[in-house]
Amino acid sequence: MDPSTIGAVGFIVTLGLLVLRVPIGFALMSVASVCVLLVFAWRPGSELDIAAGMRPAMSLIENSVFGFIHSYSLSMIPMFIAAGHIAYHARVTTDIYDSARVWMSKLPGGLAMASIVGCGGFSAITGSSLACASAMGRICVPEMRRFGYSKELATSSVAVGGTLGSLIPPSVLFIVYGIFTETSISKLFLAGALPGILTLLGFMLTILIWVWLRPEVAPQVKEEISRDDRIKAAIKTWPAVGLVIIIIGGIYGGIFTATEAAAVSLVFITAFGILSGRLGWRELVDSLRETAHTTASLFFIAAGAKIFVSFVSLTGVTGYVVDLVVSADLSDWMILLSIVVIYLVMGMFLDPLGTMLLTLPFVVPLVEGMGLDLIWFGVVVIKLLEIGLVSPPLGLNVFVVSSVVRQEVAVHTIFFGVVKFMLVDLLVLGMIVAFPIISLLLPNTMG
Amino acid sequence: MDPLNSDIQADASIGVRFTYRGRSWWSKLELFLVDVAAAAIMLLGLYVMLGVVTRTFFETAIPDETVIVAEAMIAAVALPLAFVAADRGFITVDIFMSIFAQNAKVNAALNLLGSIVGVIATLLIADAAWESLNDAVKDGDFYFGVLSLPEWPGRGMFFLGYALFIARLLFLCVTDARDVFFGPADQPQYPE
Repeated sequence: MDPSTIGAVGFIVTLGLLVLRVPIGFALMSVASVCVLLVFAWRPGSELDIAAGMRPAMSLIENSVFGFIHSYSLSMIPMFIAAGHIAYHARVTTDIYDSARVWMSKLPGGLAMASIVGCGGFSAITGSSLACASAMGRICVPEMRRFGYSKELATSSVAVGGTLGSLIPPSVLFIVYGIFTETSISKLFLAGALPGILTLLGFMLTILIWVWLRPEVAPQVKEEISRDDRIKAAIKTWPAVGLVIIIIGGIYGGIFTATEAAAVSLVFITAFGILSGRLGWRELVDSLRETAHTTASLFFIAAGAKIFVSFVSLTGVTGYVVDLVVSADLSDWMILLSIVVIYLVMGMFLDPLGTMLLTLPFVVPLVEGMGLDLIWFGVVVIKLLEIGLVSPPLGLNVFVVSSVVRQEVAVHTIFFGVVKFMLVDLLVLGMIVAFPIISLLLPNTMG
Repeated sequence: MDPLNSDIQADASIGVRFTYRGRSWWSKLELFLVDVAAAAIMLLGLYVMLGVVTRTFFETAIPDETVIVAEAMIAAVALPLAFVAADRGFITVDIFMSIFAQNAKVNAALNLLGSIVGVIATLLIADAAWESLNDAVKDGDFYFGVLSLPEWPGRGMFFLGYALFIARLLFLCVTDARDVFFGPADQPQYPE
């Protein structure tokens, strides 16, 4: 059988299984395994011979998975995840919100701004937008509602704030992108920093304009906060600042590799938790168990995608797609626009990791063929995935916030609020696409 | 509310029960392997950190850092798979089936499909992992380096992780099939 036919059928079956709620890793790995076996066992012009295909298929599959996991550089993923879980148990993540709240509460829409900053810090450290929406939703939304903030502003600021962690290092999505495109993860981390900060500022500006146009959505907070309180609040954030210095400063200064930065972060935050008395034995063990659980789940998808990539290249489907695009004689901008639309649409339905792993085998050869920088493109992809997390009708973060507030706020109310932030998101995306220097400035000057 | 302290503790835990009490021996074994993986993750951090310290302050490298970290990665990633499967902790795209899945039988059928596809997904890998383990033991393969570490521990953990993973998925197939054909029952949460 023609390998490209096997490839096309395999891709369709994978999508079908995903729709039928089969776990993403299972769908990718099963289809890829069976199709790899078929490619070896059913050569063009020959009869099907499973026995002949078994040995090379098993060898390719086992090497793909074992070789993928047996990796020094990939160890940064569990280490960053562990640092995030420990930071959460040691309350480093909520300290960021508490501090931002103290400093910003007097500003117009200050509590919403503090939520954005708190969520950005939380999701950057824990690496999970959904966990952030769930955790910070419980703190920030009741707090804003207590001071008379509108439901729309209170919930949407938490939903969008959680997406910031995808761009701000250490982002698991960047690590996985770096592995699959063979680009420097350190450079990707640095490339995401400025667009992340730009998005954060854009969200805060959105709140300012929103409150300026409709002051009733965020009444002025009448609460006395002394200078001492502000200073204490600022000092409380030192562990979070320490993590930023270790990760961004360490990598930018050429002191650490990304893997080493992960290890230093993990040891630093564990030492802080234990020495400050915030992290007992129980919390430490639970953090590490949660890390093991998350890591296994994440790597299973990534390993499935690894076999899937091997299967796609084996069947030549990528070449077929590239030829198809080339024969359509589209300009580079049209191709890029098409890619953006595909990611935006897929991001509405699939989770970010699944979207990225399903599309990269096809998109990266196209982008490379156009001579575009893969570091810059990584930032564009992650930004698109970030937007997908809150895009109507199925933005996952919105549903998480809705469930956290026990459906007291209708989903469409949250989406109405989110749309205002999405305008900024799209503006920042346009800037990242039009001015690659925003992403490439830091990686190009790193030590 | 104290402006410096949120009065509601954030709950970002992944919502999994990590206690040994009330579990069968099989399930205890799965949780024990999660604990081994958790220890491996801490070991990773400490060993890489040690490498940074010795390089920075003593201008020397620790032996076989790359191999030891990579071997610990196998423990961290492969050993918890069975536990995650038991917890149905793998990421799915729920949205398309969310309405249909409110029917218990449809939900069970979707679970069954997931478990069957899971078995297909892991069967070849587990078989290949057994072959590689056999080869590594028979040939006495080792990694090049100062310590000449043998390959079999990593291969063994990889096989163990996937073997238990398949066993758990097969068990889920049985319970899911029972739910499809006889309706959801008060089944034991863990296999005896």
